[in-house]
Amino acid sequence: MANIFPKATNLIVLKAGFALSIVGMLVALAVWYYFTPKYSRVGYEPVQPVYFQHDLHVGQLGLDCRYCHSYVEVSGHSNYPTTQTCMNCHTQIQKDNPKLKPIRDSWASGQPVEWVKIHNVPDYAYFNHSAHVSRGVSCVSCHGKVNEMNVVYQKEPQSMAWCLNCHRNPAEYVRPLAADKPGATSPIYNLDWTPPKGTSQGDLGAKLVHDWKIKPPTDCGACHR
Amino acid sequence: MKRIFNHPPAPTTGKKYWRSLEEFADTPEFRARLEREFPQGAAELEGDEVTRRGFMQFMGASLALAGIGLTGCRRPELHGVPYTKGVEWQIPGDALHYATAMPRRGGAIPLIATCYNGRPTKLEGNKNVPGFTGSTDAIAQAAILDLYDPDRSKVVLKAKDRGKDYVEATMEDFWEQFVILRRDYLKNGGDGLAILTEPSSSPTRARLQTELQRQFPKLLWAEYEPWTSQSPVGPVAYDFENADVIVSLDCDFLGAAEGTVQSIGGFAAGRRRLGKSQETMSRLYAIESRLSLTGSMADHRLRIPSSSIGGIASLLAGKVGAGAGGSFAAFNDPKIDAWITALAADLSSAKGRALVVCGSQQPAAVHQIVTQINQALGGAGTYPQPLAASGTLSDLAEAISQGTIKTLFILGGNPAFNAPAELGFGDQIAQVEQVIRLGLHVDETSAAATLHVPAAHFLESWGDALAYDGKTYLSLQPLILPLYEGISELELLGQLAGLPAPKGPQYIQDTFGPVIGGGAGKSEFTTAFEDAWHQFVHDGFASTNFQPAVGTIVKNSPAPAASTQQPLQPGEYELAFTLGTIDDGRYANNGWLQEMPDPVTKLTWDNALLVSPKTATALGVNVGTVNDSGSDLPDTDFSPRTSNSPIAVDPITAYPMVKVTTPDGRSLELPVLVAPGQADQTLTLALGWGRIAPRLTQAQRDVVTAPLRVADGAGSNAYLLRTSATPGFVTGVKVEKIDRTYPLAITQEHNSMEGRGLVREAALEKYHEDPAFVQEIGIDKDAPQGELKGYQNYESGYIPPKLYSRTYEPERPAWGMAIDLNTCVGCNSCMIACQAENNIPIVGKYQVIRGREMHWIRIDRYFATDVTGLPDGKPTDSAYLEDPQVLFQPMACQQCENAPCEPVCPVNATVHSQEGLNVMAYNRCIGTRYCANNCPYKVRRFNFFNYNDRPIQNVKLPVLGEVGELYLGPLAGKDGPLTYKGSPDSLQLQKNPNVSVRIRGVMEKCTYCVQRIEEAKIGQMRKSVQNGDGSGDITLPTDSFTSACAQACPAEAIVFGNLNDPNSKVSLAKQDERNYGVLAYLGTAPRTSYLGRVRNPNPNMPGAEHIGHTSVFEEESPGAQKNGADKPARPENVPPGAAHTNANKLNLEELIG
Repeated sequence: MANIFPKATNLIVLKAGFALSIVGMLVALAVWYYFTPKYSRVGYEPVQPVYFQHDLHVGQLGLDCRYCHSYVEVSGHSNYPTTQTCMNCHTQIQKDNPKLKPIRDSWASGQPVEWVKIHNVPDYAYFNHSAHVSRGVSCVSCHGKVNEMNVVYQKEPQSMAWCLNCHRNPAEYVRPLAADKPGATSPIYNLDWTPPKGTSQGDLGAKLVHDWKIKPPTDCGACHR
Repeated sequence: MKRIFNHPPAPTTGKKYWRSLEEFADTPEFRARLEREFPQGAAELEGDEVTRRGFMQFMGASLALAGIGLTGCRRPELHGVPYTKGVEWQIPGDALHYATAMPRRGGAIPLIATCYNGRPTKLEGNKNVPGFTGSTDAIAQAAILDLYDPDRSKVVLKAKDRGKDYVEATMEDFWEQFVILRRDYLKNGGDGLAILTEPSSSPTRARLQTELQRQFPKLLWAEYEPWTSQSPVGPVAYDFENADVIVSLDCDFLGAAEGTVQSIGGFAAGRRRLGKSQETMSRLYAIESRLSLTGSMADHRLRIPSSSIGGIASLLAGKVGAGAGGSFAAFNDPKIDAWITALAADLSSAKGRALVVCGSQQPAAVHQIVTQINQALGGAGTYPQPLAASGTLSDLAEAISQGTIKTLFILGGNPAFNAPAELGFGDQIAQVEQVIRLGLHVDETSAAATLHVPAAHFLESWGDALAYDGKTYLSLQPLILPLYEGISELELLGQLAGLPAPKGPQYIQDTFGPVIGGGAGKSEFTTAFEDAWHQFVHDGFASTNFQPAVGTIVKNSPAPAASTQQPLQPGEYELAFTLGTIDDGRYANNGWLQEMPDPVTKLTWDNALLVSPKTATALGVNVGTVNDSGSDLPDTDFSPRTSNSPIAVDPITAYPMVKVTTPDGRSLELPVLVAPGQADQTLTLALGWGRIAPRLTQAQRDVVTAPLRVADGAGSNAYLLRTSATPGFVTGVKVEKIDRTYPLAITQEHNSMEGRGLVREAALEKYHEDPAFVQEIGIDKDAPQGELKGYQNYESGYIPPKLYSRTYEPERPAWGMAIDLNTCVGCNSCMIACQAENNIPIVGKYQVIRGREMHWIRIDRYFATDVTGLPDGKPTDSAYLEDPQVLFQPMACQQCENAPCEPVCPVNATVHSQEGLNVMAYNRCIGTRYCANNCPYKVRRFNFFNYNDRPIQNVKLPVLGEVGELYLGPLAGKDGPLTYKGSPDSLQLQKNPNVSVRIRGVMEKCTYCVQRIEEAKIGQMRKSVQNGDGSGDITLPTDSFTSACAQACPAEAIVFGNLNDPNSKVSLAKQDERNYGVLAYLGTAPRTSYLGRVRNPNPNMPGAEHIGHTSVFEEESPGAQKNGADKPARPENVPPGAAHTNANKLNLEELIG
């Protein structure tokens, strides 16, 4: 009796197995990627109770980050602005704009505005804003160009590997604290800042890291305690 | 090559160190327990109230429920909620610090409170106040938990049927009634009105009292506190620092007396007079009945019943030439006579620098004798004079029984619980028509009152107080609005005196004015006044001392007759009362203090009747003691240890019980704890336990919440045996064994390390001969020198073995700690400070029995017995354990350079930092517990349950019976036993926001307060931007911060800091020759080191040769030859003690490569 399966079928099982394992690995990789902060967090852009436009306030009007996030230099938290901060201007400007109704209601009632958190560091990680901005890390390194965002979204994955990337190579990111020319915004808060002509970030950063004795910790205890 | 650690055998000469009677007897049972990583049952679910299978069923069901809806797969939306208006000074995420003070028995302790977003989280001492070093005691550290106690009284309660039925009323109801009361009593001059309160050092309260007594001339103002000094002048503040010879007559000035923070500080300063300058360290004698902290620190200790103290004092007075003196024929003991003679000679030779202190519970006659002795010796103390004259509790009781009291205010205190037993005060209160109670808790006294008003905690109210010295004027300011609408005592008294409701600190300002000399009686708001006031509140103390200040002991007081107290007859027992970890019972609902082991007995959650081993034998309750008659050890009787407790526990924790009957027929059934060092025939019982919460119906519970959940049922009420005639001790007590046992949670054997030169000591003489005596103890001299010394500083060039390879840099700090065993008095302050700082949960009595307590720092208490000259180095009879010497050793993670815990972690959850910390990443920990298994110091703690998330009391369930809520797991919930879940809101407010709250299944341990380290470093970085760039100095200033334990230590025995900074306190301490590392010969190179203890025996004293006798590990000793097989393996050809050559150096690298 003739063979039902031609000789070529001998390898089908192997081939199919090989192909399936490739597919399996791809699926695993895809699932893996799906759960990493690179996929799950980057781009998170929740709807806020108030349609606040960072591109308008920072990009066009030129407000300093610290006008609203006023304690970033002295506290671990970079605070959300109080309703009072909004009302400093909006008692005069756009004072009847319906989009600002939640702010006016909050001011009248004393109930705070509940902003939706975009960047969330887990409870077991203790990130400190003041430590970073006083050592030459600009807002833009972690939050992206907020001055160009209409509604703020998460730009960076903010995973531990991403944190360590900078802690291991600080020269790539460290900026001078002083403005290039008098009256200009400090490079920390000037999100569009680029190294002056003739220097590169690498050289400038390396010099600052050396001069300021920057030794970012890579120990667990630096953030986890 | 595998390195084999050869542990040294127990020393056969010098001292044997032991932690418990079981260890002393060295039974096979004890060995078996010791070999375990955790005590019996700690690692198993079996034997718990819920079986393992049942637990899995619970878990399975809840997991299945949790899966429905896949709630876990959605990204939770989190909110950031800013203030609407900015709050002055408030920076989100940053702490604010305010000065305040804690009013305490005998005087207040100045404090600095740390507040996050308006919630106080931690209390520290205020070191700016003159006479204070910025330290606190355990009770002050635990006060923050009292503030957030979820069982605090929250609403006004009106009795519908006194003691049985309560209804909720409002504060307005109360004030309405209050106004009518005042109007009515103004008419008759206060006839029928009485106020019962606790003594207070508040000048404002004294002012209001005087005002009230003026307005209501017939008002009866009574003050009562259970533990007041019987001395005619009240508690006396002594100068311990400058005394050369201190004698304590039943006075636990380091443990339970008034003003311990300052006493410990002064005493420690006297013990620190040691070192290169060869100054004389002070010498402490203790004559006492119970082994107290003071007795533990004493160089010489005489163990006699409390009732004999008077006789001893008379005898001593005679010998130092003060007053009549006593012949002491009644005692007729040549040993005691020789002891007292030598003591008197030492005292007389130290005239002007000698001090005799007397226990506050000794009768007034004994105090007078002691005063005379002090006068003869030229030493005198000061005492605060009473601010206003008051009646006593017995005055009030008499008035009540005559029926003249119609309205009684009970402000604070808990007289229904702690009044002398013969008054039956709870029943008496119930006879008074109207009783208004102001209290923090709904307690025994509230149950007898007609109206209960919630009181404000001292951290919620304005106030003032005097320190223990009676002249330093301290301010109290509120750190948070009253959580439950409570009012302070001052607010109530002021309004009773017709003053308007105070706007903020108004009452205090009116008192403060005259103190600073501005305005008489009324505050005049001048600029000068305002400046002075703000300074007062800001600093926490007034620059001007309070007047009238203090009295000194009056000279030429009439010579008291020699004490007539007869010594105990054979077979007669005395019952002595003492204070334990919860003071007089007022802190009984504080879980931290309940779970804090008693410093000497290591008993938690209970009080027990302490008896000496000999007395135990006589009573037939000699559990765990060596047999008194026999000489062949061990002959330990464990037979009564079969528990009939409904809850299955390790049988070894079931203790026998006795019935104690006082001569006037009051009796109590109590568990017995055999306590080495206890005087024979003296039974000691701590006051304050045995609180009984009012029994409420479910409907009432909805109003009151469950009152006193922590205190209820813990221990036995010793006040039931205490009468006003015998507040300190009562003789002629009958004791009989009863056929019951009681489980006690004792931590003394938990986490025990075997005796390998862990604690090291020497007599002062030996120290002067050889300041580096610690190096000769243990087998340190045989260990590799590099690892033995570990990391000293960057220059010392310590290189860890390859397995631990890492580089250190001089610019980085290197953290280290040194603990001086010579000044550590074992007060537990560090333990509670750590608990408050690091969010450490309590676990409850039955978890402690299983050895699951979570304290990151524990205080090991070692008993020491000189075994020199004994065959085999083993003691022959129980006499050796009756007079032990004591050493305390605070033990936390040693932050080993070569930490054994690190390589065994399969997930790298515990690793080393570049600053030398052995850090834990909780979120990486998967709970294998390998690290705890491999830790030679037994300092790692495992979260067997979600301790932070569960209430600790037991509940009754239909099928399972009594169950600890800890075990209910996810099925526990909010409103009843089955639905309660989560930590009470108020407790969450206490948590330190800079420390993770750990969950079940995670290992934790001391971190050297890494959050404080990081905060200090970041604070310095912020300052580095001063020049406009980041070039400022980022080096931390010397000792700019410290760990929580070091900050709280009243003896300043713990120092923490940067080893790379040559000027830091810790660097200096580590240069001391007494510096050694525990188990350093293992090569762990611990960053925490200890300074050996030095005792100062009087050579003329009987038995002085045994005091501070150093354990010597000599090969020549006969015992060691016998035990030859266990001898420390010494490389051949190396003479004992010779320095190591490289050839002989044991090297860990060989292990690896």
